[in-house]
Amino acid sequence: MGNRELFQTYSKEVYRTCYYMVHDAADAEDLCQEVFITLFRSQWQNIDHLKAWIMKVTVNTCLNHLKRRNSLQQKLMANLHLFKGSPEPPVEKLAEQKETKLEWAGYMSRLPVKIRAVLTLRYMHDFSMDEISGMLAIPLGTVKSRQHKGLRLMKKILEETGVQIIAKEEEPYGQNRSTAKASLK
Amino acid sequence: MDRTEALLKRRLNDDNEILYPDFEEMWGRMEQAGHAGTVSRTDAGAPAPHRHRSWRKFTIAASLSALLVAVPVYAAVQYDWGILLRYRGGVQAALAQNLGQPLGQTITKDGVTLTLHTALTDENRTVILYSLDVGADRESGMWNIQGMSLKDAKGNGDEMEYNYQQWDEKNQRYNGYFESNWTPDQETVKVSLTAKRIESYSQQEVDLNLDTDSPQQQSFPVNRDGLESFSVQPFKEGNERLMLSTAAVFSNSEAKSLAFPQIIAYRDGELVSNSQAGAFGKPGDNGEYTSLQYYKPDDVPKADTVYKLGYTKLERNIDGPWTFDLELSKKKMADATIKTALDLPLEAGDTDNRIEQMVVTPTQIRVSVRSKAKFAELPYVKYALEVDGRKLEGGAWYSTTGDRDLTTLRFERPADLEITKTTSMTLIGKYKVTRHEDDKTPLQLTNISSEKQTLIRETGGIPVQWTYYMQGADLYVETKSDDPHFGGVNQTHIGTGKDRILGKIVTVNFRGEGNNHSIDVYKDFKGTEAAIYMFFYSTNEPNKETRVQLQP
Repeated sequence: MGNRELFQTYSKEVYRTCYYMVHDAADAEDLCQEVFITLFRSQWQNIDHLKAWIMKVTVNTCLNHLKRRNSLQQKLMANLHLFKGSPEPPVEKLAEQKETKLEWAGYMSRLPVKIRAVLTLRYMHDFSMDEISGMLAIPLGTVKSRQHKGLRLMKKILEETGVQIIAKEEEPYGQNRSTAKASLK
Repeated sequence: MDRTEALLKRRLNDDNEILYPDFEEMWGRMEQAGHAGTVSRTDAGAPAPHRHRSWRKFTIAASLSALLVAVPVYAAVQYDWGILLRYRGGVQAALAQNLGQPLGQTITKDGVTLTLHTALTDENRTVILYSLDVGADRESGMWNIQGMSLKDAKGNGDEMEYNYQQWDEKNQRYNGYFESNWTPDQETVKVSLTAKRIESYSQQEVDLNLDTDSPQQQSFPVNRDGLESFSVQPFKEGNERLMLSTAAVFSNSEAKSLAFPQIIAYRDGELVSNSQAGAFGKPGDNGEYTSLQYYKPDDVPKADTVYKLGYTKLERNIDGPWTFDLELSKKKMADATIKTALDLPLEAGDTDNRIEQMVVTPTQIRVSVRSKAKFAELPYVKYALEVDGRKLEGGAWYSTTGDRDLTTLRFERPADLEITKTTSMTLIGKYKVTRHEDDKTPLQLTNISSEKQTLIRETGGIPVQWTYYMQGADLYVETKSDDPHFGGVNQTHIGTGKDRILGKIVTVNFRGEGNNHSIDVYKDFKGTEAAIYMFFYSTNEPNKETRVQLQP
């Protein structure tokens, strides 16, 4: 396998992981590219558990990015809705939202990043608790408690959002119902 | 595993949840910057340039339209070579002028033979004609080639590529063509054409005990061939039409990508046609494959009609890759190609859409239009090109990769049409559709109950009928107008601000098709009153026309 094959095999998984970690398509795209540049520079041909290693690089790249990004102000902004419900978003923001149907990334983004990392590795990539412990360099007990806490929070988020969020998933189609291009032959 | 775990596992891995970026483009950026290790590393330290962010808003429109045109493969294919190129008149024309490049390469695997016959490549596109001989297995079902792709020596190709084939009764084989937007960057180029696999399918049917008089959603377990269940909800609009909203749940993602589940109606044993084109493949709330199909109630009287679920099943799979190494030349075609730079508005006063270029090759005429509008959507729906008084019908191709502000109008070139730099050529756009966001006045719905109630209100000077009613726990709101100039309401919402509830769309309408009937549903609606709003509506001017002289 060469670099191109590596990219073809893992690009979707890496991108998806980044997307669910950072909840921003543009950032996820940059991070995905950053991860592959890191991979290409390393001796990845000599790695035994390639996928586990790639995901470790991916999740850690995302965690670093989030650490860099989260100034105090951004933290407040990002978590405002947890305390107040959704504020009325400004027009540009609204347009942005209408373009994405990616609600699950939205739910994930409400979780603390360390918990998000555990849930992503566990449920997107099906790694064992032991593997996750190794990848994130945290004790097994911590992985378990983060997973447990994550599931509890996610359940609460799902219960809170209810009908309105489910309806929102349809919005992109609303935007496009009368714009879908019928002229492709 | 509890419900939250199961949901997480499913949704985090659901490809329908996510819009992927253009990985080819990403690879290209890394390669350009010397990170990919396949080109010289002189500037390896430079960061790879980042993509333009503005493309994101277009991808949903593009991917949705791709879904909706994924028409079922139910129709039998029994035409000859001539009909294969019915919509590729320009290819026929070039073949007739002997501009094709003979290939004559063959690969055989497991008794199945793929042969490449002729290539045509010019400034606009590359077409390769092929045939597929499936040997003794020709009775077992329908065959197709999956994942056909053309790449040059550097691995460059184009994502807008596709293949189409038909059964040739006379020669007992399939004839097909592969078409790509890729064109050689020099006169002669080495390329490889690869097919991932060759597959055969059969059409399966399952009886459905469907009651079309009941407005309830009816669910049928299937449990075979990766298809778990199929549910149908009928919407009967008097004697006008019967709409069937269906959802298929799959246990196998491979089956999901090829099954094309649909309803098939038989009246006294005869297949009943759909009364209008349906929409297939929109993903549902939980990743189901949902579709809408339509019948005329008179065509499907209850006593004489039986309904079946039809779907496609994979029978054989011959894995590849099937790879052909070729050398393509555009020399013959280049001599007869005219490229003209233009800068003309699409219609007088239009500042958003400008005609930028025209390329005339022996097979095709392409006129490209650059849009400044938000959704790069041209205001006219139908396009034709008048060449020396002769009218060629064409279609608009919205770019899904690369330059997303650019729409290409393509016209196949007939064999007997001579074009020089002085030939008179006029572009004609017809059927104007305009989007309006000016109606922000709420409509008050009162006494909401299971009884259908209709209000009429003017929008943009056109009377629009609003009908609302409860069905079970859900509120349905329908909008339509008898005035054909009304193009339809795109989506409704109840209330504003943080308490806003969005209507979930039941119908799928295409731009400029003349159907302005829309249905939204509000699941588990509580209450008897509501202030309802629309996002936007459109108006249609079927007879409005623009004419732009391109040359001389």
